Amino acid sequence: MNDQFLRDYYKFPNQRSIRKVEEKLQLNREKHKTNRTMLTLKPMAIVILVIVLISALLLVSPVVRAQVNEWMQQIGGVFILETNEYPGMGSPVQTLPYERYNLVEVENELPFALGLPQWIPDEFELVPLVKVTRFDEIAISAYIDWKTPSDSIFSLIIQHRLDGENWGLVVGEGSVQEHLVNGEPAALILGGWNADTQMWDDNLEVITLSWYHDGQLYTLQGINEDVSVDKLIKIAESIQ
Amino acid sequence: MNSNARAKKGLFNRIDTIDWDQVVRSDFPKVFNYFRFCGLDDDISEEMTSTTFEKAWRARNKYNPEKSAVTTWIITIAKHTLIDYYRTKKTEYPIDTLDEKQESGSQTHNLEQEILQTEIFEKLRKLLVQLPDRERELVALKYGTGMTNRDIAEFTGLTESNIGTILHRVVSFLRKSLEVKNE
Repeated sequence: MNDQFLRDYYKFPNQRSIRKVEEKLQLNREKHKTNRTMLTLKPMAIVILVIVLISALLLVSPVVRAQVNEWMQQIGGVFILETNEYPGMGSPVQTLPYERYNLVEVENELPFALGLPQWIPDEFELVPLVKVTRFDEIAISAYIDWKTPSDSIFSLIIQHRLDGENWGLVVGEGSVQEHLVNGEPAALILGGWNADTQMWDDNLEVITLSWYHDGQLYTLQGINEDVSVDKLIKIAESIQ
Repeated sequence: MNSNARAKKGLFNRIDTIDWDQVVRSDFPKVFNYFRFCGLDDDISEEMTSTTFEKAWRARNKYNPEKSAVTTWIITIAKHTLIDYYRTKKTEYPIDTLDEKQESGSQTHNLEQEILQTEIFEKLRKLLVQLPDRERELVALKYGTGMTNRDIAEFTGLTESNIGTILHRVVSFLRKSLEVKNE
């Protein structure tokens, strides 16, 4: 078959165009790497991330979910899987890409209303931009942060399931207690997954409270130095 | 490893498994020529190739090396990018613009040989544009991306012999049409 005329039509692209794309992707990778590094330095963020990833994983796969359900307990509609097996499966910590909005804009971006605390410790300073992550067509999460005097971040995370499923959390064995928020059960989790040791770390001094409010999973997360259990519950109960 | 663990590992390991520098270097020319053989001009082909790689980067978590080679995955994204392009433009293949390009191109080239080559290429592109979608895609996959008939069979779901037959017929048609036009 004489197809030389078609082979002649093949053209090598401009090298400058290839370099442009290479540079653009390199820039994306560096940005992504920076985000990952920042997360690794913040244990709280790691915990949040692992919770988000694993929650989604468990609920994406009905097969996986069915097999682990037998080990799960439920506190106020939140599935809890207590395990000593690190849920990251040896992979590096990953970040979901996020967008930032101010508190007014974010209301238009989300398919649910944000309940905000009416009480927060005076010394906490609100970060004016809300981070929003989307996990495929499954979930949307909004992160509202406050800077604390210890130079850490205190977070309120509001997570919405687009598929109507319940959320699940994977936590270390013996790290969960049941508390009440406005008379409704809530899960108090002490400690967090340590990405470096790939173990649950009770000494991480992370304190997390998760409960359902208006159909969304609400999570408050901070470090012991900034917030006690009583204060955490007081903040949770002030959310409207 | 139990099935739960495998499922989790599969999901996590998909992330960051691509050597992007290597992929861009080896696949940019293939994607660029895929668009050219689909009838787009060089400028739009370059733009569409950049868009394809940006889309691939954003969708990197969805790439599954167990399902396909990176190149095949990127060509699939290129194909969807092309479909989106025409959907957004709400137009047929831009045959008319080819004549304009040809005219403006001719003014800037002095060598007769180059003009002749450019004219042949423009005629060829016009012919490619007029091919039925399936035939044009097969030509683009074969001559643009350099896929073998076997790869094309996996990509399109057609049989290898069917692809060979169609390509033989299309190539003959294109060659004869070019010869007639050049007479």
